[in-house]
Amino acid sequence: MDSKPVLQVKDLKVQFATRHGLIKAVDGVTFDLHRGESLGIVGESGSGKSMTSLAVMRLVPPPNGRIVAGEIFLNGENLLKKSNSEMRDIRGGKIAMIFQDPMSSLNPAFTIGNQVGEAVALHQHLRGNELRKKVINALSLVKIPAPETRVKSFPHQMSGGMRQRVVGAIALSCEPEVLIADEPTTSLDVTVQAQYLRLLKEIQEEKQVAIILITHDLGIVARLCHRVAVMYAGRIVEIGSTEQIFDKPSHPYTIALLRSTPKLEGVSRLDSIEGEPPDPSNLPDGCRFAPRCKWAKDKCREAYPPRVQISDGHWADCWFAGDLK
Amino acid sequence: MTPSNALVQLTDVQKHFPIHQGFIIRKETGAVKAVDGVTIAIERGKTFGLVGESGCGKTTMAKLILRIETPTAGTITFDGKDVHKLKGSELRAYRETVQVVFQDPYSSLNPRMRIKEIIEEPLRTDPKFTKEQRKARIEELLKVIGLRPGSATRYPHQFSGGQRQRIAIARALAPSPSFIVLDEPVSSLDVSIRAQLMNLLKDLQREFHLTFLLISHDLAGVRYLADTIGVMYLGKIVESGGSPAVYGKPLHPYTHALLSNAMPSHPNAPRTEVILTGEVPSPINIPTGCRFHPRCPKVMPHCSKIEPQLQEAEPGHWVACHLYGDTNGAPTPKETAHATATSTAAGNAR
Repeated sequence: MDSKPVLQVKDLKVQFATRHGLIKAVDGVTFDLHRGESLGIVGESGSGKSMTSLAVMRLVPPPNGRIVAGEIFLNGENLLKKSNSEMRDIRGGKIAMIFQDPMSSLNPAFTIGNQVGEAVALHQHLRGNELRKKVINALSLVKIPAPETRVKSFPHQMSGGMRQRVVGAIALSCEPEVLIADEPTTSLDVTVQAQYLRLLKEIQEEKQVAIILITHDLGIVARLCHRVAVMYAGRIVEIGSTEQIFDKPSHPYTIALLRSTPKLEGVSRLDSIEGEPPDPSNLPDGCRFAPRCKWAKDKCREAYPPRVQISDGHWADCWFAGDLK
Repeated sequence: MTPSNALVQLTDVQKHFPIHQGFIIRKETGAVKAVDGVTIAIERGKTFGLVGESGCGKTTMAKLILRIETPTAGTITFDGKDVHKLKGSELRAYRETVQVVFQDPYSSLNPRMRIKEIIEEPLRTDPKFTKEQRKARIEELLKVIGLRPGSATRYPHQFSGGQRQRIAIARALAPSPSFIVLDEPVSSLDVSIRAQLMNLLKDLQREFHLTFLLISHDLAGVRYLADTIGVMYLGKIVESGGSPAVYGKPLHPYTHALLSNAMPSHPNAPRTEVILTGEVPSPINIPTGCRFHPRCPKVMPHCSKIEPQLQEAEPGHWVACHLYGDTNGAPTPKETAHATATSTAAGNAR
């Protein structure tokens, strides 16, 4: 891992203006990502994890959504200062994305070769035979059997796992520095999911691409990621290496999440988290998890807690971080 | 596999959906063998967890038990009575006794009905209930599932996913059933909500002496809720037994792969990863012999020729695989079903 991060996100804020008021989807998110590293962003729906990744791609849906504050640096260059045409070169070129559902992210009317080639032609200005070679390379990178013949196939002729590999091939075809995978295996079966995650890991080790993996499944993080950021109601509440998070979870939300997850080894009773995540247009003052937290004190409801360092590289936003049992 | 206190018993159940081709002269050209010879017993007051990948026939099995589909062959009995031969008042009673909770509470609740109407609906057909009794029952159910009484006049869109699933459970509980099919009851919910719902289901089971058929692909969740597990692959049960046995000592290579592919609970959790190649074959062209043999890491020459039958490798732990026991003299499925009640260790583990 290099000392200098590929991607740096500083105090990022994304807001949506809606009829029901201002929604703070992402509210001050800071993290960095190094070459060859994979960072898992874990959170529930509405926690802002997907919006963070869309903001990195500068794809926050206009006109309601807006990046209101913060900085995003890719190799030291601020992406928020780039023009739209510069951003178009970066998207798919230096930062690529894999979406959740391969059914809807592939165009049913074009062949696989066509769709992988589109990105390559656009970013690397290749044509004809060279383009074809590159496309076949990309398909064999994601281990699609017989890529020479598969380039002529349409998405409906492939299984779900194969389609998701094609999406991966498109993302990786231009050798990006950062790959954002947004719930890449949610629509896949257990055995196919394991194949896919293993493939991602192999490609990462080979190409040293930095990966942001967005998921709600702590198990996937445990298997694939070096570091984890836990998001709750628009903020990263805890960040650290995967071992740190699993061995010594320090934010009440992370602790509760780990205790409420059923395990293959079996448990007698799950410790469930009561209540529901807060309404993003009406966030509580103070700590956002306080209404559901069994350790919450008056202080938690009054002011947002400071970022506490637990150990090297392990931080949690909690007044009582480190003292909870 | 015929415990004396079985509430639901499936015997060699098959469901084939015919495929027709041709426009003017329609010909049957094949069949989707969704369920292809399943024998299971669901014990009273227990949870039977059915796991398997998509397309393995889990949901079709649930539909057969719910009498939404009719089996092509085999029998399903509920409390000793053949479900698909019920008529008149017996059938009406069966429809009350057996309920279902679906995966997605966003599509299983009618957006134009108030919560009280949703929960009341299954009670309206029952002449035993007067209007006042129905009202009282709705209030009682809302309390049981943990929603405020004031929720009754609101509409589904005013609730979150977890609350909606609670409402769907209340609706299922309304006619006081004894058996509920839970088809992926928590997989559409957020992680922090899942544990609440799973605990609720556990409590309800104890309180109302319910029997559950839990269908899921989430192995850890099934481990938590189910007493008995059936692992299904391409329309067949390949392994079944008590959940500690199946999870602790999986016998079938497919179960092995499923468990080793499930996500770990800790990054340093020890694991022996069995990576399967390929995906589940189409249920139209089921492989010959053992249907798992094209993907099996322990495949043997005769696996592609002889189909293994479910046999008792250890007491109460059944597996359909040539690795266990003497397969050449393997009993036919019918014999297996009869033999089970008497013999305890039919096939020794290796």
